[in-house]
Amino acid sequence: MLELREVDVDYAGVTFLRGVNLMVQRGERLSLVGPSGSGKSTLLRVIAGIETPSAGAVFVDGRDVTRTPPHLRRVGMVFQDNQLFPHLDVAANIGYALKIRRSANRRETVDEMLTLVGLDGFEHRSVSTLSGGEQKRVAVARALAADPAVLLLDEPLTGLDEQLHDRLLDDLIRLFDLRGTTVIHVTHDIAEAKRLSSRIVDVAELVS
Amino acid sequence: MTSYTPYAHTARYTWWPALLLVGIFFVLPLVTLTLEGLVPADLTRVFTAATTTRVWWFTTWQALVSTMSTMVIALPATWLVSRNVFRGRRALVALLTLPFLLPTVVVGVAFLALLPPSLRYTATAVILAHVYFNIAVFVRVVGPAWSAVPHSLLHTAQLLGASPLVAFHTVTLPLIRRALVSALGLTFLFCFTSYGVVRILGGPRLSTVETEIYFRAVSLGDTSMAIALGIVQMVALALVAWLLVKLGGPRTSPMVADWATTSRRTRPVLVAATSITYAILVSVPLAFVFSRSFIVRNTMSWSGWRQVLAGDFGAMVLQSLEYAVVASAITLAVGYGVAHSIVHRRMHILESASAATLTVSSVTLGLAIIVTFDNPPLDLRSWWLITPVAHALVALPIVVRTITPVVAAVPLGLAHAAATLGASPLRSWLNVQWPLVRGGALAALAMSFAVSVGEFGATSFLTRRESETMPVAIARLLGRPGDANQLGAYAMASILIIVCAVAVAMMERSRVEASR
Repeated sequence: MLELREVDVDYAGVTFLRGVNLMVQRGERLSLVGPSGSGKSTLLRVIAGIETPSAGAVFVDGRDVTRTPPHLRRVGMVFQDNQLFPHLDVAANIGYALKIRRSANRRETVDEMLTLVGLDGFEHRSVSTLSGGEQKRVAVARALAADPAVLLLDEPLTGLDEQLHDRLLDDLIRLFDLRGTTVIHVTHDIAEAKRLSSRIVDVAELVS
Repeated sequence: MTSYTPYAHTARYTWWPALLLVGIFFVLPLVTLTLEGLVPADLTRVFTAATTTRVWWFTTWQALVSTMSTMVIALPATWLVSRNVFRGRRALVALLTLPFLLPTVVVGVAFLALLPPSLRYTATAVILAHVYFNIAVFVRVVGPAWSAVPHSLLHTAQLLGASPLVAFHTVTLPLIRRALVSALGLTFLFCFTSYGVVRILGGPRLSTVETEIYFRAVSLGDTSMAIALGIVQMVALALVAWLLVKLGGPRTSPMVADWATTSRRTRPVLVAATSITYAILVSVPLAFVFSRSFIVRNTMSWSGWRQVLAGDFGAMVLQSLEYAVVASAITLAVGYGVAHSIVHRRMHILESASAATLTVSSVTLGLAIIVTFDNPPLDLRSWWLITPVAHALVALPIVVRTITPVVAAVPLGLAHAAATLGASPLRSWLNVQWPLVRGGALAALAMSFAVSVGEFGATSFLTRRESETMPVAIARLLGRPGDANQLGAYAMASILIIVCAVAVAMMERSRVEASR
């Protein structure tokens, strides 16, 4: 489903990830763990196409997408800081990908997503008025509405208080179980990784 | 590793239209002007002829006196709007900005209407008009810096034994020094290159270098002297502009700079009294223009407005508006392209390059364009686009400085998010980038519209009688006898005031939207 083959990542002339190999099966949930600065988030950005590796290849569904721009990859991502579009309301944020594809059932999908993430009635709210947890739910709903082949979560629950963190994690697990989503999740919280994913990989192990 | 930068590819080319515009209609004319004017005898005459020495002397001393007087008058207003939070502050800032956006001809006309006959056509009249025009420079340039000085710092200084005056001198002044120097430099530059105000208020006796260039080229037909004056003026301006950059100007356009909102100390009576005083100071000259558009010799007459709305002068109004629409469309498209390249390809050199047109006065630009495009195969003088193109060149640096920070403020992460949701670079620009910069772009559009509709320096060389714009027509009509001419001129000046007030309101609105 998703494969990284001998991927090298360098920054300012220094290679900090060399020969990364990784395989993720359809429907699998994988957590990448490691200390800050170990390159977990960078690896997600390479998979998403936001960064291009200096060597190696990325495959999605058997197709080499290493040089494919992000908008043609069908890889969704929930960013650490959400990156919600500030000029669009909740519904327009969630329906963004569907609007681009001119999807006929945009409205229904947005409603379904709102229900899934527990934000019924929030359609026309401005995203700037939402709490941190609500914003995260919108970011997840927006990424899922695009129906990506694989969903990348970059420290999705960092910065939330403990109660909200646990509740949102339960909701995400329920959601991904329901939809059979393929997920690569980056965190430094081992407990969170254990609950969300069936496989946990330390970034250091990936480097050859 | 290379990062995905969706707009980097287009940003490689989007500054090319600016290159073409500036190359053909700015650099080429100036090179031609310089080559034609590099005649040692003419250049010597610039400094030795009695008339031109008098012109240089007047230009310099009136600019110095105007600059210092502006500082004295403008600093209390700047203190008012930067150190106090009160109801109507935003409206007062907009009102104080209005004179700066008014065409210089209109400012001249306003003081002609306001001043008693004994003061008209004197240096005092010119200086008063310059002060009125440039208050906004101090408010807009020094205001944001002053508002950012924390009250806690002043309290600390006072706890350490400094009196309020000493605290101002030792804490506030060093922190606002750069902005203050910028405001002084800019005001000097504007007064030194004053043209419209001096054409209206200087009368036959007073002349600055700018009006002298026009007078020599158009009235006397002494083009060689006009060109020589233009060249020396360019060198002088480049020197002042270089000094300004050296001493450090504000990074963002004063029109969009942020005001700190921490100033909370209020002194209701003082604030109210100062606000009312400045509101009256700014409004009264404008009220006189409106009143003179329908009152002549103590009797009411609507003939001026009739002429403007349905008579002969209507064509000039339409002509001005038509030029302004075309010029602001050109400026926005070209200026946005430059901002796009600056932000997404980090071509910061374009920031300074686009400011280059500021170092040449619009009168010199107008003269250079007619000298260059006067002969086949480059005979463009009768080309209808030549005037809006000149206006676009004058407005371009303002638009670039307004839009660039707005474009830069949109996080690249939003484009990344859009891309992971399937948006191509074009889609992401249309759906994400543009909606977020639209307000700033509209403000820039309004500003370039106001610049074009009131542009007088270059236009007075480029338009012909059949395509006269409002400022050119106003200057011509005021020099002619007859009540109808006077009423018509004041009515057109009133229209220009309304257009500029709308532009200021649009700018303020977009600032408020942007701050949300």
